[in-house]
Parts: sequence; C-alpha cells; structure tokens
Amino acid sequence: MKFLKALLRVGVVTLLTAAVTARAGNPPWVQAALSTDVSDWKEAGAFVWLLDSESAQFETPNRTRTLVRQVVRLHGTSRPSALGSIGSITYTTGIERIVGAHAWCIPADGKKAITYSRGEFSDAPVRTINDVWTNRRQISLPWNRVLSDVVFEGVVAWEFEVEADSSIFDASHRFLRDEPVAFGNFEVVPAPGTHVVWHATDSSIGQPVGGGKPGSLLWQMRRITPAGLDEPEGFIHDRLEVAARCESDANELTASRLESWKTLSSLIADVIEPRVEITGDVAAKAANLTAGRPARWDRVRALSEFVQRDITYLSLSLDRTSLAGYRPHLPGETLRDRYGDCKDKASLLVGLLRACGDNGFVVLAFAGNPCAVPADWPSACFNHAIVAIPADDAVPADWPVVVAPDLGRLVLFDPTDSVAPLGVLPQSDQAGRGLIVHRDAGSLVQLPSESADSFHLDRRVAVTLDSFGGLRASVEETRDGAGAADSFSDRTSLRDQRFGDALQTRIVGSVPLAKDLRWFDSWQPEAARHLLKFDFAAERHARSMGRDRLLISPQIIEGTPRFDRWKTTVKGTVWLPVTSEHEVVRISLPDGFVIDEVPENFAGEIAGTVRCKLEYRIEGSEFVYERILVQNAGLFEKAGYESLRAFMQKLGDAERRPAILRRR
Amino acid sequence: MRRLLIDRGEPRFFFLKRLTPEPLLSFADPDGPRSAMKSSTRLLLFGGMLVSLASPALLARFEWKPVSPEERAETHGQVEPDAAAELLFWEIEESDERTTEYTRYKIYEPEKTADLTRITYSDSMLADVEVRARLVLPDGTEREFGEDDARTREQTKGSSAKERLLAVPGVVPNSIVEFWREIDRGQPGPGPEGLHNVILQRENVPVRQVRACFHFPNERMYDFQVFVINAPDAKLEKDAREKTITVTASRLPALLTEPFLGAQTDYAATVLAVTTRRTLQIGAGAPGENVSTKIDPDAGPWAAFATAAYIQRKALAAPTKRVIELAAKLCEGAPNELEKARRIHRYVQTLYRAFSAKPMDMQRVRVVNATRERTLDEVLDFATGYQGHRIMDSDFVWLAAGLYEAAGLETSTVLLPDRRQTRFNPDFVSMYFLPGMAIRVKVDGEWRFSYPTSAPPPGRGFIWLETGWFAHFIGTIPVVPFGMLPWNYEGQKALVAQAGKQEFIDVPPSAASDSLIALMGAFQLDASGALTGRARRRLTGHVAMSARGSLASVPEADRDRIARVRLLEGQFPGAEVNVEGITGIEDPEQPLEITFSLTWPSYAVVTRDRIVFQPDVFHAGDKPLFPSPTRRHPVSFLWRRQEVMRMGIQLPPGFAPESLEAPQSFPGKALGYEIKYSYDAKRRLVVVNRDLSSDVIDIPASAYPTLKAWYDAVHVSDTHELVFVRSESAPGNTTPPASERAEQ
Repeated sequence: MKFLKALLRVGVVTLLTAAVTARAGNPPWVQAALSTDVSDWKEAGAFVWLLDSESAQFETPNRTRTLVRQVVRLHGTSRPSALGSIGSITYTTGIERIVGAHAWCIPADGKKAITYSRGEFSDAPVRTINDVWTNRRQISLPWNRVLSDVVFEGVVAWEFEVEADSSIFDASHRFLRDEPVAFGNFEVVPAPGTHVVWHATDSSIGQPVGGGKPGSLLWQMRRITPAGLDEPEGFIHDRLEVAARCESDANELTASRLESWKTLSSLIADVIEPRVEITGDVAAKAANLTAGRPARWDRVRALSEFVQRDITYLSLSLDRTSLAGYRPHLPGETLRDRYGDCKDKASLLVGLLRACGDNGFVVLAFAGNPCAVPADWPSACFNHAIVAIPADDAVPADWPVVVAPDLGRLVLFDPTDSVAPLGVLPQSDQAGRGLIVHRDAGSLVQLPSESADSFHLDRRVAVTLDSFGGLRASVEETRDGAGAADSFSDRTSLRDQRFGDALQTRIVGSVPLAKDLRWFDSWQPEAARHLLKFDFAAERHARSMGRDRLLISPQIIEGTPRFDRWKTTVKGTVWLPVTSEHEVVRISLPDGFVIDEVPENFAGEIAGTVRCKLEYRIEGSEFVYERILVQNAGLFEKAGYESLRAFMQKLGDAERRPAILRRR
Repeated sequence: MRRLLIDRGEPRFFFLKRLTPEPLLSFADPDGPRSAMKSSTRLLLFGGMLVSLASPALLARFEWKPVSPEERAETHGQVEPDAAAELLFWEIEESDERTTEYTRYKIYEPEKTADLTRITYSDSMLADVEVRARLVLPDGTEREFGEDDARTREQTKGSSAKERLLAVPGVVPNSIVEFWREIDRGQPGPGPEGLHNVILQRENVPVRQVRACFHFPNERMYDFQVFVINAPDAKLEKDAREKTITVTASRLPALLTEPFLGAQTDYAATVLAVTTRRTLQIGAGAPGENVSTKIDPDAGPWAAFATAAYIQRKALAAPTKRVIELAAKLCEGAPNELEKARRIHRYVQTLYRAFSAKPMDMQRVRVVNATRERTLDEVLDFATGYQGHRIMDSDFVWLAAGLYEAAGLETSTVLLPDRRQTRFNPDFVSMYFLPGMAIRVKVDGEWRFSYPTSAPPPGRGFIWLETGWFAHFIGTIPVVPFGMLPWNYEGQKALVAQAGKQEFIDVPPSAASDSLIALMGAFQLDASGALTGRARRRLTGHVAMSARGSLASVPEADRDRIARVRLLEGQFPGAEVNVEGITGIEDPEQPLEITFSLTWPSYAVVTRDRIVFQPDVFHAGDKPLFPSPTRRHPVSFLWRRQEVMRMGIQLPPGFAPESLEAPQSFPGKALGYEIKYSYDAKRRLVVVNRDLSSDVIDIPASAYPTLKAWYDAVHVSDTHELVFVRSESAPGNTTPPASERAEQ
C-alpha cells in the first residue's frame, strides 16, 4: 500500500513538472543577449538588463503591434521583492490585447532553458490604492517558480506581443531604467503608406538608423546607468524616451492628426466637451451655491470650494475605449455620487461655472514633473486635469494666470487639491505645461510658478534669555500661497496631537531642550494664509563659557535647509519651488549682560536665482537678527544647482554663527 | 473568572481564564496521524458544525439598526473631537464557518475620510463574500447599496472570481455610512485551530463602541480561549447556551504612531482568540523511547505541549549513520565543545540560507509536503539537491539537533514566544503563543542557544535604521551566530521540550556588551571650520545582525553605497562620506566593521576671533531621540546595547581653548553614560572618550518622562561645544591655517 502511494506521488510530481517545465532551446535573440559581457561593468542594481528591446509595428496609423523582448541576469542577492514589476506588462481590457507571452529561464549552471508559456503567466487587475478602479490588468511572470528554477546568477528572458488601438497615443520607449541596462533598442515600423515621425527627450539617445523593415527606424543605447541613485531632492531625470507615430506619405503637411497642440486640444475637446452636460441638478446646485453672492469671484470661489471639498477623490474609468482616460463622468453623475477623479472634478466645476453663466475650460497637465510635456512634440502625455477660468480686472496680481493666444487671460484652479484655494496653484502643478482643451481655441501654455510675492513666510520670534542660558520664545509664522495651503493641509491631516508632536520635533532640531510648547493656528482661505503661533521654553539653551559669557545662535527656529550634493551621473534637472522668507528674531538680553561679539552681517546674491541678507543689530536691551531669503522657483542644471547649493551652504554657515554675551 | 495582572510596567493583561475543562492529551497511534481522530470524534465534529450552523444568531436575517436623531445631528466626535470620522459602533461575529462585520461610521469631514466610505472585496474559492452599505444623511434620508451597486472586474483571468468595489455615493459632511460584510466559508475549513488577533483600535479613527462575538467550536475537540489585552475597561461575557464569548469595549482612541513602538499587541486593545486542539497529533514515526501519553494534571498546563515537542524531536531528529559521519567530519580537529557546536551551527545555517534563498514553488510543495516522514538524510538531500522537494524550517532545527547529538553534545529543544507577535503570559495556554523553536546546547557545562534557521532579509529596503544606532523595523530574522537568539525571542521565557514536565527557563535579553557599537576616529579641523579624517564603526551582536542584513541582501557592487546611505550619511549631515572598506558581512561570528573617511565642510563655526565646534563628531548630527513631551504607548527597544567611542580631533594652529568645560556624565546601571574630554595643548588634540550602556528594553509610558529627560541630557552632552580663541601664544601659531597652505 505504501509503495503504491509513493508511486502515485512520484507520478503526480513527474506529470506536474513535465507540464510546468517543457524544456526547449533558447531563441537566437536570447542567445545573443547571453553573450553580452558585463563583468567589467560595476553598476549597482538587483539585476542587470542584458537586453531591453521593443519593436512597435504600426499596422495602420491607429493600430500597433508591439513586441517586447527583455533579458535580465540576476545577482546572487536577487529576491522577488527586488525585482519589482519586471517580467510583466500592463494592458487595458478592450483596448489592448496580449497576443503572446513566453519566457525562458536559463540556470547559471548551464542546464537547458526552461520555458513558460502564456497560460503560466499570472493575469490580474492592477491593484492600486483604494481610490482608483480601472480595467488595467497586468500579465506577469510567475516569479516564485522562475526563481525556483533559475536560482541565482541565472538569466531570465521574456517576450510579450501586444496589439493596441493606439488612437492619439504614441508608440514610445523609455531607455532609462532603475537597474543598469547593457543594451536597449527601440524599433518603429510604419504602416504602409506612412513614415515615422519621432521625438527624443535627449540628444544622447542619438539619431535612429534604418531598421529591419522598410521605412522602420531603430534607436540603440548601450550601458545605461540606472536612475534613482544619489539623486538630490527635486531631481527629475531625463527618461531617455523616444516617442514615435506615423504620418501619411501622401499628404505630409496636413495629414498628421497631431500636427499641433491645437489639433490635439480639438481632438480631446471632442471627448470632454460633450460630457460637460448641464443638467437640471447641476444648474440647481450652481444656483444654490452662488445665491446671495453678487461678486463674480465670490461665486466662483463658492463653486470651486464645493468641488474641492465635497467631492472626494475616486477614479473610476471602466469604459473600454482608448480615450477612456480622457473621458470624464457627466457632471450630474459626479454631483450625485460626490466622488470623481481629476477630470471628473474639473468637468463638474466647468459645468457649474457654465450653469451660472460663467465659463471655464478643462486644462490637461502633468502633475509632479514640470519637464514631462515637451513643447515641440504635441502628444497625449498628460496625467492630470485642472480648470482655467476667464480672468477679469478683479483678479489679484498674484493669482496664477496664463495668457492663452485665443482665449486671453485665464485663472488656473486645481479642484483635486482639497486645500489650495482659488488664487493658488498647488506646487505639483506649477512650472510645467498645460493644454487648454477647446474645440477651436485650444493651446499649450506655460503654467506659472509662484512668485516670491505670493509665496511667503514671515516669522517673528521674540526671545527672553535668562542669565543661565534659558530662554522663552514666542513665534508667529504667517505663510501665504501654496506653502500656506501645504502647511494647513499637513496640520489638518495630522490633527492636534500629531501636529503638536511634529511641531515639537521641528523645534528640537534647533532647541533640543524645548518644552512647554503651546500652539494655535488659523486658516484664511480667501487670503491663502496660514497663521501659526507657538511658544516654548528651554533651559540651558545658550551655552555658557566660564562664569561670565553666554554663546547663542540667533537662528532659534530651523534655518536654511541643507541641499543634497548632485552625485548622480544620470542626466536630469532639479526643480526647486520658490522660497521667500523674512524673519526677525528679537532677543532680550538677561539683566547685567551686554553683547561682546556680534556675528558679521552677511549678504549675497546669484542674479535671478537667489538673494539673502542676514543682519545683526542692537536695539536698546535687545539683540535683533533679521534674515531675508528669496530664492526663485526654477529648473536647475548641475552647474546652476551646485552654485546654489554652495550659496545656501554659506548662508547656513553664516546663520549658525553665535553672538557672545558678556556679563557687565 | 477574571484576574488582573500588573507587572513591571508591561501592558496590562485582562484575561478570561479557560472556559473549558483542562485539556486532555492523547497521542497519535504509531500507525499514523489520521487515526488520531476517532470516527466518533469526527461525528462529534460534524455534529458540532451542524449545531453551529443552526445557531439562530447566525441565521437571523440581517437588518440595519436604527440611527438615532442624536447620531444624525452630531457634528463632532465624542471620543476625539478633532477626528474627521468616528466609528460609532463596530460589531464582529466570528465562527468557524462565517465572519460578519457591521460598522457604522459618522463622517464629519468626507474629504479626509474617503477611504472609509468605500470597500474593496473579492470572492474566493473558499468563501462567498456579501457586502451591503447604507448611507444616512443628516436630514434623515437613507439609501441602501448592495451587490448591484458594486463595480466588478474579473479577478484572475479565466476564473469566475470577481473583485468588487462598493463606494458609497453621495456622502456629505455629518453623514452616517454603514457597511455590513459577511464572509461565508460554507463549511468548516481545514479546522478552526489557530490564533486570531482582532485589534480593536484603528489608526486615525476613534472607536466609540466595539463588540466582538466568537462562537466557540466543539468543546470536546478544542480548547477555546479568549483574552483581551490593553483594554482595562473591556467586558467579557460567556453565553453557554449560544456557545459564544463576547467582548465589548468603548471609547477607544485612535492608534497613535510613536517612535520605538513594539508590536501592536504591546499597546493596542486586542482580542486574542485561540483555538487549540485537545488531542495533540504528533507527526508520524515512533518515538525513540517509551513516553507515557498520560500527563499528570499537576505537571502544569504546558506539560502536554512540552511532551509533544519532545516526542516530535525524538521522532524527527534521530541521527542517522550519515548524520553521525557528517558530525564527525564537521567536528574533526575541533579543540573544544564550543568549536564543535559553532561548526555545526554554521553548517546548518549555511544550508538553511541557501535553502531559504530559493522561493517556494507552491505547486510542487503540496505534493511533497504530504510526505512528512522524512529522515535527516532526506533533509540533507532535499536541502541541497532536488529543487522540487521542499522541506520546512523546523527540519533544519531537527538536523542541527541530530548533528549536535551525534557530536556528543547534550541538547534540548526549547519553544519560544515571539515579541513581534504577543508578549508571553503563562496563563495564555496554547502552542500558538510559542511559535519559535531553538536548540539549547550544553557547551563546557553551560547552556547556549543555537538558532540555525535564520537568513538575510529578502531584497532591498526591508531593514532600515532610524538613527544608525537603533534598528527600528526588521522584516525577517537576520543571521544569528551560535550562542545568541534573534532579538524577538529574547527577554521572555522558553518552554523546554521534555516528557511529562512543564519547565520554563528564562531567556534574558542578551547583554548590552554583546551588542556593541565601537566608534573610533582621528580627525583634523582646519581654520575654515572644515573637518577631515578617517573613522571606523565596529558592530557586534544584534546591531551587527541588523546592519549585516541590510548589506548582505544587496549586490557586492552596491554595498559601499548602501552602507554610506543607510548607515553613515544620516549621522554626518552635510559631510562627504566615503566608505573605504567593509568586513564581516558574511560571517555572523565576526564583528561587522565599516571603515570610512569624512570630509565635513563648515563643521565648526568660525567667528572673527573664535572657533566653535562639537568635539564628539559621531553625534554631531544627532537629534533628540524623544522629542515629544508626552507618550501614550510603552517604549520598546529591540535589544540592550553598548556604545564605546574613542576619537581625537586636532585643532588648527593658532587657537587656544577659551572654555574647556566638560559635558556632564550620567552614570547608572540601567542607563549609563560617561563622557570625558582631554586636551593635549602640545599636539592641539582634543580627545573624547564616551561610553553609553542601555540595559533596558521595555519602558512603560509612565516612565517616559524619566527616559526622555535622560536621553535629552545625553543629547546635550553629546552636542556640547568647545570654544577656542585665536591666540598669539597658542602652540603652532606660526603655521598658517590649512586653507592658506593649500593656496600657497
């Protein structure tokens, strides 16, 4: 009996193994990748891409068939968690179709490759956080089984073939990866009767050569350093991306559907505008919200506050066309459900504005990356939607306003941000490019960065010092603009207890023994102003030197932040938002003490980028320290960034200089 | 019957003592485990299921409870007035077949609580899930939602299983949102055994009232126990007729994230529902000696588990001829017992590391796991050979036990509670509170621990060090040298596996000196305030294990960078750190040592006449460890530790000390700190010696002010500054500053 059981077990194991691991030879492209020698290449990473290849064939100008072939060599320390989402491809049901999926695992010990066919790949919805629900799915290698077969130092190769309705979207390939790439290539094959037009984000990608098929173009890069290592804060790496599409040979000058941003805007307007339907409930809501508000911008504020606060974020895009990502829900639906994503909220606000006789337009943008939308390559490359509202003379000078060629001055507002009020554009939307969606008058505009006038921190600190070095400080911080919105957003999300702890942590960064903290705050959305008052005490803060001297740095609250060094060798820029700070610290000296040594004043400037001034003076029994720092928002290349960093370092050094007090 | 235990500032344990008679113990017949459950018992189990399924409480048709006008009118929370939402009530009902959950939220600010108004759920092959929701607006308008209102998408391609999202639409401020969810498993699964933790508190959402009701399973088959910890006001009720135990609690604040927290069960109101089979089934294989299956009731409630573990070891760790030969080979030439034990430990650990690096292939595991009758020879074969055969972690413990025994070393198996799961309480009688297993080896007359089943964490980012000195979170158990246990098994008790006896031994936390951070450095300061120099950080014990885990899991080419970024740069903000060498990554018996150079521009503040600097370079970048003046939950350090620092900093020429006051020391037993400065004027050298020892692991919230005051004081001493003034008479004043020399 036992023997039979054992035999049965062996049989089952054998059958399963046979089903799972059909042995086969390697295809030539895998074999070629295997011969890539990277032994002398010491780029860090959980694995190395030996090959990262993509070939997009346009069957028609609007339909592509893409072949992805990738080969990675695993290190001895590779684990499933370190492999991220490699060996997978995402697709949208109804728009894209996975035609083929195969993988080959080549163990390091030279055993024959083990192959995996489509049925062995997992195919599951792309799971995101609880506020996105789409038809995106991911087909992935069964990594646990693959790693079990390949063990370490082995090679895994896979191939996906995808058919897609490309519609207004480009075929594109990103050469930069989070792990080193030994060899990457991208080939685009045009549809019959067309030729390829393309755009590359950086000249280092090089010019394409002719590919293997008539009219095709091929880009190739070797030994690409990975992204993500030693990058300074705010670093935006160049993705090393090529985007391509087909243009008709027959009517070259006019046939391209995306020959200009205006064309693209018109195409997208055809998707969005019919959805901005003003139904009775939308009109009634608009009337209700604006009742008793004769001033136009009061009405606009009421509508914008309603959409940003009362409509929670939930992205539901389940219709199965390639333009689903651009098609909003009807305003009436969003109003009824009280949830929606950025385009739903933008469309609702536009609908509400129009319902009460005003106007507005959806503006497409790319949140979080001001470099993502290239001015010279009209393409559907957006990830966010905001609203533009026609400006008038009542618009304050510091509001975010753009001038569109055919639509004039427009005020920008982001209804997805639940705090940034009308008149303030969140920092994540600033400085990039936005496409105003309009059938006839759409255009690409430069989104504004906040100026030092509208973004401001004013800090007043009053310090009473005792003869043992103890202090009591009262601080009043007034923030304006996007910084105020961020600060208020943090405060409300942290609630009282955690905000108090966070404030205490901030204070002990410069006053380690701070105690007895009390605080109060207020928020004025019309002025986009957040006021925070707090006071605290600290024993032995000023350092005593002998019996008659005290040493104290007047930078009581945190000073200029330290900038990271630019160590990365990856190409990119750093985006820095505006900083505008004015601080006055008044220190009442303890009885019987005078100032013995005052730090030297400091002033400096990098024209157009940053200026600062530190000034120390004595006013009666008070020692006064005044600090002004204005750094404009901007994108910085390495040299400019390093100059700014060095400048800030000097400023930080100057801020640390102590005053020396002496007993009379 | 309830009892209150308060001890050593640890969490308060309120527990419901056993509600069923003392467990019986009987062992499997030698024929195999299946016969352990007699047919009559199976019938009883089936009967129990029917009784349970027929329970009126479970079959009652669900109805929404009425919402009072007061609830509708509320505009602020009662438990925490600034909360954006409050859980007005939360009812959980657990049985073997079914879980139901009914939640009622009051939503004060919808834009901050969107995630509370939607629920994502999936069908599975094992259970049907039904979800309903109701919205009650402040004006009393009600809307109900069910399956038809949920968004649906295919879960796994080709299967009929669906994923659903039910998002309650139309939520306005001060709405009430309710969810009712039922997970119906249809029939009992493999068995109700196990430990079920229900945390009664939520992050960011206070709970006004919670009721958790557990239907206990067949009393003849199982011991069922419910314990409530960290909820002094919780009430427990047993309903013998309905066969339920119900826990109720009210006004529970939202959980607060604080630094140096232990497991959630250390501080959150938690129900531990544990079901333990009364008839312990021992794996097949005859014991190597006759062991009575009758346990003396006076031996203690844990004696049965000790006996079961003992028999299991006898059955599975018996040395084979091959194991005896292997032990002889491993111990060949070993000068003493300690060396023998180390070699065996290292051998099994290496084997286990290679084994655990291979991910599980579940498809194959199912087939092979049916064969549990493995000899140690098969363990050796499976661990190194055919990849289709998977073995369990415990098999490596048995292998080590067999090798130790074959090498003539006296051993016993011990069962360990896990601090990451629940603090041990001897009144919580279940194997589920002793999840760890290690071997106690007698070496030169002294018992030492061997824990061979530890491996580096998978992938990057699973380990991070908050300040460089304290490991704060560790995903998996790092590689442990012979003689130590992973930190999570330390500091509690261990049950010795032996026949018919209940014996707990103390497992003290390893000594502070075992987890040593030794810092050495030689630095120079120039007249511009820039600091340069070389330094070394040497780590042993738990601190080394933690850092080693961080480095061992990344490719060799990336280790210097990881060491720089994760272990060093945070300590020296603004400095350029260059790692020159790392040793001891692979060998857990050796210290981990990182040598590095440092260039720190503007380290010192230079004024017109003075230079001001912190002599303790290694702590110059520190921030106070405990900034918050208050504490809600206990502080939990992972291990005891000791820090030793010896460093020198050479001043630029032309400066003399203006004030050489030394910072304060705070010697003590539990927490000790001594710092000493000395100045050699001739060599312009400030020498700093610093010793810190922390012998504490768990500190109750009530002792937080004392702890904070101590660490604040240490921080002040660590960041103490010295002031040197320019002086004509100072040594070396004829030499220009380094920066000027460079220009020349």
